[in-house]
Amino acid sequence: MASEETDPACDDEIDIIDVEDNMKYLKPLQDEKERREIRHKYRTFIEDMERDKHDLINPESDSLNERLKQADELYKPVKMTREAALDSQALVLIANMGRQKAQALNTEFVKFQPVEFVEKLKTFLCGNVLEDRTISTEKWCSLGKAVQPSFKRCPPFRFINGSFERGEVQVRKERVKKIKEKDNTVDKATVPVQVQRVQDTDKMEATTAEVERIFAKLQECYKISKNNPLCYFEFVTNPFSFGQTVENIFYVSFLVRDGLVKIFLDEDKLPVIEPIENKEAEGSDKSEKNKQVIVSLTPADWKEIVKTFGITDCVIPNRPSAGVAKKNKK
Amino acid sequence: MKRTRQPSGKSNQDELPSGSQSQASQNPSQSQATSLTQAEKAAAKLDQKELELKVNDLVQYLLIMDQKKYPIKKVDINKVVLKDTSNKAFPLVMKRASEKLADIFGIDVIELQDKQKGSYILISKYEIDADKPNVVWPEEDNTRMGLLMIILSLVFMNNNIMQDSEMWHTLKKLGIDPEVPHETFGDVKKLITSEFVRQGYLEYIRQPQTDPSIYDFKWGQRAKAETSKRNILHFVSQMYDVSDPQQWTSQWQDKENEEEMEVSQANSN
Repeated sequence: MASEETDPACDDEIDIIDVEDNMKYLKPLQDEKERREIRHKYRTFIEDMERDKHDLINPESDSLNERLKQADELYKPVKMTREAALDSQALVLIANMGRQKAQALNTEFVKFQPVEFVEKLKTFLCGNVLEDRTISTEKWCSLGKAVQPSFKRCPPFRFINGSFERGEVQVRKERVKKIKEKDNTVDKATVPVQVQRVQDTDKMEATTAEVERIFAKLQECYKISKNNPLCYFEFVTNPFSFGQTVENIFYVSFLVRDGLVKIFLDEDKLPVIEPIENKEAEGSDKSEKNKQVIVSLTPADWKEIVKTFGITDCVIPNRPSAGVAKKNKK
Repeated sequence: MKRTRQPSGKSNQDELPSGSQSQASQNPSQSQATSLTQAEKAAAKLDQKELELKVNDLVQYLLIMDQKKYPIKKVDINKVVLKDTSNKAFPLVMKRASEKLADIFGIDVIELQDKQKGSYILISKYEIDADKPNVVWPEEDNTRMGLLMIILSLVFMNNNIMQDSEMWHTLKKLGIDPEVPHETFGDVKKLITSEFVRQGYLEYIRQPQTDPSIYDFKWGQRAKAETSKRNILHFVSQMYDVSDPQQWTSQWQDKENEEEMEVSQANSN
């Protein structure tokens, strides 16, 4: 063969011979149908073993040996690698089970039964009480203390006095959010916030006073309208000043937050405002969830409202400009 | 007597830089002869003071990192303690730190093997006298040790290995259920299969080719270092109120084997 290979003159012939020789190895030695059968048998065999696992692992039974013999039989017709691979798989499975069987095998005179041990443990810890044999944390603790000497544990390193003073934890008071129930007619909502920032502590008294004044005014109007809720827009809008309108909305929101005033939608889906009776004021805080609404109002909206509702005069009296408010403490 | 400060005080090992190399390699008790000589070269670059500082740093580092009882990794030590110092100085620094811990605190530093190779745990050198316990442990430690003791006993008495299904079945009798949060231990499954394993008390090994997966419990390296089979056998016998632990023939044999090995190891050192 070697001399033929090296002789370039006989190349073509060599190729054919070689190829044919090689092809001999490629051609399956076995009928495909046969092979399929073998593979099927192996797979069934493996499935069966897994299904019967418990029986096979049991040291009492000899079935594992029988399976091994079966696998041996199955191997006889095997000629190709694929089936041989399945055979290996089956053998690995048998070997694993054999291991588990050996583990389960016990040659003691006095066999250790885990469950028995645990029962004895419970008796040790809880006494012979028939009923309550649950192990409480204290019992675990005392068991642990008793066994600590068995361990050469080194205590973890801790500083005796801690590392530094943490100081009092500051409890942040949550800011009370304004409660408003109103439909969002427009989008942006920066105006009320800006107004709030303008106010500093000096002006707090002015705000409170103003809020009270408005509340009084509302109650007055409420009585005049014979205890009917008033139209919100009519109440807050000041047709002469956008700024004042916004301030009015702001003050009214305080009233709502404090539970003195209610804003809701009437049958026409328009917001209306109504003072709350004292008794109700207590209950409403707890029963109703705090609703937070962001109101936004542009000057265009304001003009629109003035036109739509035909507001000619302001219900809430016009206030002098903010800069002068300080002098007008009432 | 403090052995660490004066290099002249040491006859064989840590003589600094020059001329000590041949001695170091001849000394039979040194297992890391070559690495120590390299370490010494590296240490030569550090002066005495700096070396001392590093050693002390390592002692502190080991003590603090031991708080959770997780093995301390060599990689971390190199990163935190040695930092810009050459990593080759590690064996020397570790050796000295171990000596200090042993002398001053009575703590052994043990290197773990196999899967956890390259990490270290701290073990007390001395056993606590059961009649005069001098350490008071916090409640959490006590409860965990109680549980651990039971698990280690179960594993040992079951021939050093126990399948997880059997373990859970047994523990259920004690009110411990992997699916149910426990009043004392919380997530018990996590504690046993994750925390104890991480600390090195248990090994939780998956059996290959099982579906659904089956795990086995074995003693972890820390358990082997901190306690002994004799202790566990003693404990179990106490539970059974049996004065003769020898009746557990194979476990007794197991313990005997372990003790023989320990003795022979001690002799060869």
